[in-house]
Amino acid sequence: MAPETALYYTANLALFAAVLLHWWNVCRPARIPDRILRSTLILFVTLQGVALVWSAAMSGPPSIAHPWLATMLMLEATILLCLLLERRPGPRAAGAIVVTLAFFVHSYSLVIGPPPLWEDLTISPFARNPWYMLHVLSALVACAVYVCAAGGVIVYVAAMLPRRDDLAARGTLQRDGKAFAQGTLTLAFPWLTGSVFAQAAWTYLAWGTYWSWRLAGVVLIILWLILVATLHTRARSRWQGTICALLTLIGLVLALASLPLLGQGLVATW
Amino acid sequence: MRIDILDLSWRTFGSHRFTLAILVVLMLVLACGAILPQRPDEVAADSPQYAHWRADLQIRYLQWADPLTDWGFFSIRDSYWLEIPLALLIVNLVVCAIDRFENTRRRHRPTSQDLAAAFSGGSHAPGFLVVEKMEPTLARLRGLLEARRYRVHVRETEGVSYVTALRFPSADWGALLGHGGLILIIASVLLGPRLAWQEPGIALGPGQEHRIQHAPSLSVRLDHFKADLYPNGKAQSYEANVTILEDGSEVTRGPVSPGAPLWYGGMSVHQLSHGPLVDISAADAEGNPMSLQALVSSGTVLEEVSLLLSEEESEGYLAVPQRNLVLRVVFQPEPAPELQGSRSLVVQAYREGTTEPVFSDTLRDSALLEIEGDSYAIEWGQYAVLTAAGDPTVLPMMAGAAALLAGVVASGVLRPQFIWARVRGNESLVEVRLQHPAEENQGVRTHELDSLVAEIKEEFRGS
Repeated sequence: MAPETALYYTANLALFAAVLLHWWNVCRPARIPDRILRSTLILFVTLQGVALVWSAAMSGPPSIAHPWLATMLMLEATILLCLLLERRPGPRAAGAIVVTLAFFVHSYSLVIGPPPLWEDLTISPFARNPWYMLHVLSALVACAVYVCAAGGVIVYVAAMLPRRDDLAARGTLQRDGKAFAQGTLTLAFPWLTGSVFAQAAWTYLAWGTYWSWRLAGVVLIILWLILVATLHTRARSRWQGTICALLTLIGLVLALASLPLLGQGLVATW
Repeated sequence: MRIDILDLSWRTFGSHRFTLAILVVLMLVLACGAILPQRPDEVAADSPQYAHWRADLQIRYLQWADPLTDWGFFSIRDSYWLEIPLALLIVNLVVCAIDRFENTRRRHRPTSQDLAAAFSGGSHAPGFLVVEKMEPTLARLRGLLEARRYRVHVRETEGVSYVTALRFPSADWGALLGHGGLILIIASVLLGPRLAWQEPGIALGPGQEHRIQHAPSLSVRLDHFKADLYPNGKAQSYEANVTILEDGSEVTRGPVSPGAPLWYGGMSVHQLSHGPLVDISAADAEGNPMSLQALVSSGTVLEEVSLLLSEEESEGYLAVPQRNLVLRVVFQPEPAPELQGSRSLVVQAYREGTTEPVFSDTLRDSALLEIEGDSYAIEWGQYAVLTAAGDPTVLPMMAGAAALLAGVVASGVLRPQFIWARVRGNESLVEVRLQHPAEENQGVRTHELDSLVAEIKEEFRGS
């Protein structure tokens, strides 16, 4: 077992603690001080951050595009964003859902395999390029934003389910969930745009054409179109509900599906 | 009933519904492009590679291969499937940009009629009453808004005072800048296939030269090349020095590596890949050089022959006319277990007209072989595969990308805020109503306006 693997497993435990504490905070508000909630997340970010820096130092910065490491870096960005977004007004459940989603993805990654051994990584000379790094990093941040936005959307959808709560409370929850998701998605736009254009610049400098039918690039452009469509739904109040939620969830699925594809560039040849 | 076609078209092309429809169509077209194999740009319609690619399509898609080819599904970038939605998107963006320009201008410099209309009977602008005179109320409202970093203007019309407050107003033009950038990008993508050219697969050994077909006065010479490989034979890094010549005289030279091309006059030279280069020379027992001839269509008799091999074309042949011999050189990219995991080169010699080799050896490095008393120097090096490209649409596209990003960041980070207020009343009672003139994002912004009104109301009460 690689030495950093232990750090990833410890980070997983910290994330599990954060999930429990966040849901407890949702069910019994104000029982747990905010600083405790934040501390567990900061512990996760620290452990995971050290492990990622270790991995990147051993196998070179481009290795972060490896599907396994990319997923871990995306989760790091997700929890960092969650820490930032929790300072803004929004439904408590959104934060708990984001942390839970992050925990599931983190656990799944640990179950399917340990971190890649750096001796086994053969990184193409095309991947040793700042534009490629920029493309991968900004795509990961955009994916992280999508995971956070999904928290708000899931709150919105959950509030639509028939429950015994009073209508006003459900309405407030829906409105807050929607506002949280929309506000968060706005953050994704510059990152995703940057990623698409960094990819175009990388492709052009490497192969002399900015247009490529590589799956990783096309999926990111489709995700960008979905994001643009989602942001346009804000223009009409009729579209702000179910349509916006549906588009966000489709975007989330596509964002998660694009993670393993980013690593295509690591072994890219003409 | 008369229908104003122009107005209807304008509203249709500028509607959000139209934008969404085009976005959905583009998503589907791109998904098709990602799923179906696309014709490589560099493959000419009459080349053997194209025939090979077509045959592969026939095997995979059977009876569907021809109709899909005819409908352009295997070359979507050059087809109407992509061009029409992109052209419509440009129209949509232009119409939206003009509408947005008009709205932005109005928000920045509203006329008295605009202000009066915003607070007309049907408006549900939130507000409150203050038991005070007009002037002190106006002064306090102005102070409160200025404390929130709004730039405030007050104007009076028919006994009613209108307050217009702006915060980060210039960021309001960011969205327009973004629209302009996007138009530039889409126009570049549309024009790219018509204006850009590419000449890939220029295989050159050190010292060799290649004339560029798209710019016949230019040629490329490889001065030096080195490829560092992983044990599995994949490239780890490349180091190449290239000279560009115009009508035979050197115009520029420099290093070329993946992601760092050499530029000259709108043309760029990129490092793509590498392959094994085998230089062979022969001498008889007395040391006199012998003539060799590569068995290719353009093969001439020389004292030294270079074979450019690859994983696809791993065999090369050359004749030794003086000895009636044919040398077969086979590159083995897969590591042979008996050679401790390194790639190898098999050299065999055949007497003309026979199938049994008179000599056979496997090499891991350059070597001097002795075949029937003659010595053959086998120098095993590498050749570089370069591509030359010219694309005048790159700069507009990158400028558009920069404009789009700058616009998005400006309007997202420094979000422009506009507040209009109507203050009217008599000597003892004043009514203050506030309005947000933004047309978009009503859901979020109305919520923000409500909290701002509540804050201002609280401060009025508190003082």
